[in-house]
Amino acid sequence: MKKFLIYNILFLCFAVNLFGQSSDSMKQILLKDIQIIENRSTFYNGDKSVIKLDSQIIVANKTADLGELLLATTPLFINAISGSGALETVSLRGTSANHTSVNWNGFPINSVTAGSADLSLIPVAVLSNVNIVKGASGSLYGSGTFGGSIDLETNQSASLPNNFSDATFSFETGSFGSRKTNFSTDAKLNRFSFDVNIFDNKSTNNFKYQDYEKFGNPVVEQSHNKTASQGLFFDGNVNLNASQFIFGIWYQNKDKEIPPMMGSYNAGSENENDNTFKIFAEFKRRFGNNSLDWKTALMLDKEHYTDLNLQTDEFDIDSQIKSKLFYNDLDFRWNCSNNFSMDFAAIYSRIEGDVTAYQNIPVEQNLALLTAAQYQIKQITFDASVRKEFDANAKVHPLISLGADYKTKSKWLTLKSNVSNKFRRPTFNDKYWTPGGNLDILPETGWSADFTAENVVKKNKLGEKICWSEISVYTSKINNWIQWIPQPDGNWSPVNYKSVWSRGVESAVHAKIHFNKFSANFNANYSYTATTTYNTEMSTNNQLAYLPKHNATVWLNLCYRSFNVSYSYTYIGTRNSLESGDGTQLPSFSLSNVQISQNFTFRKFNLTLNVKINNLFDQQYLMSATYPMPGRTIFFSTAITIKNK
Amino acid sequence: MKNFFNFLLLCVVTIFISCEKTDLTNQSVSSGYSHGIYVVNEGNYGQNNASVTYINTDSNIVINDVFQKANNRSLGDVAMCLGFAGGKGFIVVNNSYKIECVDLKTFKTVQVITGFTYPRYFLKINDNTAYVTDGNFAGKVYVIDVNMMKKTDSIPVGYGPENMVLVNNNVFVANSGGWGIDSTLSVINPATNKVFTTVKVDAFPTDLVVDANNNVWALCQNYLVCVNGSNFTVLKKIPLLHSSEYYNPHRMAIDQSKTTIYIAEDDGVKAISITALSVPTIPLIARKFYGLDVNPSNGQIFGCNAENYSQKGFVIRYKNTGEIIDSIQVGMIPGSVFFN
Repeated sequence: MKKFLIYNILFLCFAVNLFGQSSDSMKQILLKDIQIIENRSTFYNGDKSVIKLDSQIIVANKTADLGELLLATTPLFINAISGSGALETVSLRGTSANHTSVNWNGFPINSVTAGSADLSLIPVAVLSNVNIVKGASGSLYGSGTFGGSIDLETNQSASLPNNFSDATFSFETGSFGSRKTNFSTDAKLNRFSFDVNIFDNKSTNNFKYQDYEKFGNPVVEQSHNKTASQGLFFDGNVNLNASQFIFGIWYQNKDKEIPPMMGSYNAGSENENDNTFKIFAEFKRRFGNNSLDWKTALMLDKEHYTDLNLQTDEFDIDSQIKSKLFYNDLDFRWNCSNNFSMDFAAIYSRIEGDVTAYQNIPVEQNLALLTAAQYQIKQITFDASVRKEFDANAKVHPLISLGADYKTKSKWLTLKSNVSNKFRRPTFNDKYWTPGGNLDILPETGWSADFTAENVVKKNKLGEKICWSEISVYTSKINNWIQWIPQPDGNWSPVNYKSVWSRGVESAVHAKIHFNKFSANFNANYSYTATTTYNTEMSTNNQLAYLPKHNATVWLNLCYRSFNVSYSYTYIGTRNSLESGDGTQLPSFSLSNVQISQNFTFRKFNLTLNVKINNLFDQQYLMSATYPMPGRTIFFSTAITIKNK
Repeated sequence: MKNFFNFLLLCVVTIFISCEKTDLTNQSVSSGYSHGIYVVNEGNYGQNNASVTYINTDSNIVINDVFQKANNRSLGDVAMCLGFAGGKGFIVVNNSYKIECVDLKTFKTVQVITGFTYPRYFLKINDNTAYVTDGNFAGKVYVIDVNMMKKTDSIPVGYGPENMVLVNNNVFVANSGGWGIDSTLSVINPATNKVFTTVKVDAFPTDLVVDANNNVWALCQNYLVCVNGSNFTVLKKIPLLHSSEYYNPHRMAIDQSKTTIYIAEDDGVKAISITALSVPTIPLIARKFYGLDVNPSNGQIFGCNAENYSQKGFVIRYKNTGEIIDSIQVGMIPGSVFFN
C-alpha cells in the first residue's frame, strides 16, 4: 500500500507537468465530398475533460462487454456481481449509477424505470467510439448527468474508403463454459455504407471459490450463474451532397441466472430476461455555413424477473417491467462566423412504463428547449449552453453551463474549466412502484465545477498527440438525493434524503512510441474521490457505499510487426457496503489481465489468433459484499476477416 | 450494612448504565455464552451482516458480533431467531436458508442445518425435539432432532408460517400468509407431529404469546385475537389502532406475570391487559420499535431500535412502568431479544 501511495504521488506530480486530450479536435470532419456535422454535445464539450478511448484499446477488448472494458482501462468504478454477463453499473466522480448518462449514438439508454444502465448488455465488438465526458453538463445532456456521460457510437462504416467491404467471423472459447461467436460485415459503395454485427454469447460462469461465509470455508462451485445473450446491431449511412441520413437498429435478448449469495444454502432460483429493441434515424443537412440535425428514436425494453419456488415448482415472484421511449431532437446550428456558432434545439420525449408493480401504465411527456453558443477569441474558446425543461410533474430551473478552454500558441498546454448545474428526474419506480412509490418526490438538483490542465509533450506529423498527460480537479453537489428508506408503514419508499458533496482529483498519462516495426502504447489513470453527506440526521465524511477513494488503471500494449501483447492493471481501493461505515468493509484489490495475439495476412484474408488471461494472479476479490468474482480465466479466440477493396 | 448494600446497588446500576453505546469487545466471558441476553440483529437484506449481541447480566458485559468473533465469518443474511435446546443455540438465518447450531460455551458452530426455502422461527418442544417454521407460500414446520442437529420430519401447515407457541402440549403456528394470504393458526400435536385442527383468527397473524390463562393471543393485521388454548375457540378480537393495507404491527410480547400484552405500534408500545376489550390510545412508551421483547425473569421491556436501517441499532431497556433504564448499541437492525 505504501508503495502504491508513493507511486500515486509521483504519478500526480508527473501529471502536473505533462498533459493532454483532444480539445483541438476538428469541429467538422471532411469526408470526401460531404462534411459530417459534429454532434452538439461533442461540439460544445471542449471545456470538459473527455476520455476518448484509443481505438487500439477498443480493438484489443473486442470480446469484452463495456463494463469490463471500462474497469480495465479507465478510472471509472464499475460495480459488478459474480462474473461474465452479470449486472454492471458505473460510478463516475462520486455519484451513483443513476447519475451517469449512457448514450447510444446520441440517445440516452438509461433505464426509464430504474435510472441506471446495465453495461454488461453492451458488447465492445459493436462500438466504434467510446467517449467519457467527465462532469458533462445537464444543459447539453439533460436529466441524470451529474457524474458525467458515456457516449457510445456504433456507426463504423461512415469512415470506410469507397468500394470497400469486409466480413469477419470470430469465435472465442474459454473458462467456465464461455463461448462467444460474432459475425460482422461492413461495406461502403458510393454514397451508401452499412455495418452489421450479430453475436451469440454464453457462459455457465461456474467458477470455484472459497466460501468463507460458510461453515468450514469450503471450496464451492458457483451455481445458477449462466448467462446467454444474442443480438444484432445494424447501422446504415446515406451520404448525399449536403445531407447525411443515418439509421440504426439494436436488438438484443439476454437470459441470466442470478446466483445465490456467498454463505447461502439456496441453490439459486432467480432468473432474469432482458429484451431490447431500439431503432433510430438521423438526418443532417448543411445550408451554407449552417446545419440542421434531426434525430428520432424508439426504444422498447422489457425485463422479466422470476423467482422459482424449488419445492412447489411455482413462481414466488413473476414480475415484468416494460418501457417505451420515443425521443426526438431537432437542432439548428448557426455558424455566424469562423469563431462564433450557436445551436438552437428542441427535445421531446415520451415515456411509458408497463410494470407489474405499478397500479396503472404511467405516461410522461417532456419538452426541453436548448440554446448553446461557442465563441473563440485568440487562444480562448468560450462555451455556454442553457436548457429549459418543461416538465408537467416538476418545476425545473433552467440548466446553465459556462466554460472555456485556453490553448497556448504552440498548443503544448490547454487549460479547461466548466461550471454547470444539473438535475435528475425521479424514475418511474421512484414515483409509481407499489408499494412505496412517492408521487411527491422532487427531482435531484445540483451543480459541478471542474478545472483541467492538459499538456501535450509530443505530436506526430499528422498532428495527433502521442505523448500527453492531464490532471483534473472537480467539486460537485447533489441536493435532494433520492434514496429508498423504510417508512413508518413498514414499506420502503423513496425520499429526498440527503445532499452529497463530492470532490476529487483525476490524472492520466498517455504515450505512444513508434520505432520501425515496433510500437508501444501506454495509458495510465488515477482518480481520488471523496464525499461528504448531509441530511437532517447526520453529517458525515463517510464515503458513499461501494465508492472507493482510490482507483487506478494502467494499460500497456506492445506490438512488433503483427505480434501484439497487452497488459492491463486495475487497482480498486477499499469500500464499505454501507454509507454509515457500519457495513462490510471490502478490501482493496488489484487485477492484472494479459492478452497475446498474432495476425496472419494472406492476400484478402486475415487471421487473428488470440489468448487472453483475466485475473492473471488468481485473486479472490469482491466487487459487491456478497457475491464472489471469478479467479483466473483463460480465453482463446480466433477471427477470420475477408476484405474486398 | 444497609448503606453498604445501597452503595453496592448504586455501583451495579452505574456499571450497567455505563454499558450505553459501548462495545466491550475485548472482554472475555469466563462462563461462555450459556446464560444471558442475546440480541439477534437481522442485518440488511442482501448484505450478509446479520449478527448476535451477547449481554451478560452477571458481569455486565456486552459483546457485539459474538458469532463473527467465534467463527471468523459472518452469521449470514437476515437472522430471525435464536432458540436454545440441548446446551446449544440454534440461530435461524432466513436469507441464508440455514440454521447455525452453536455450542453455547464458545458460540462456535458445531453443525449447520440446511434444506429450507424460507426458515423463520424456532421452538423447543422438549430436550430432544424442536420445530422450525419454513415457507413463504405453502408452509411447513420441520421437526428437528436437537441432538443430531438434523431434520427428521416435516408437517404441512398454512401459508407463511411464522411464530409458534407451546401450550397445553400443543403447538400453535401463526400462518401469516407469507407472500400470499392466510388467516389461520395451525395446531400440532407434537406426539404425532400432525396438525389436528386449524383455527381461523383474522388476516395475517404473525406473532403469538400465551397468557396466564393458557390462552393464545395472535397479533393479526387489524386485530389482536384471543384463542382458548384448550378448546381452540376464538374468545375475543381487539381492533388495532394503527394498521393499513401495507402495515401491521408485527411484534408482540407478554409481561412476566403473563397478564399484560405489549404490542409495538406505529406511535409506540401499547400495554394491553388480557382482560381489556380495546387497545389504549396512549402508549406506555412513545417510541416506535422494530422489535419488542420482555425479559421473563424480571419483566423488563426491551425495545429494538433499528435507527435508519443503515447503521448500527440500539436496544433500549425499560421498566414495566415504561421508565427507561439504559440503551446498548448492538448490530445492524436488531429484531429480537432472547433470554436463556
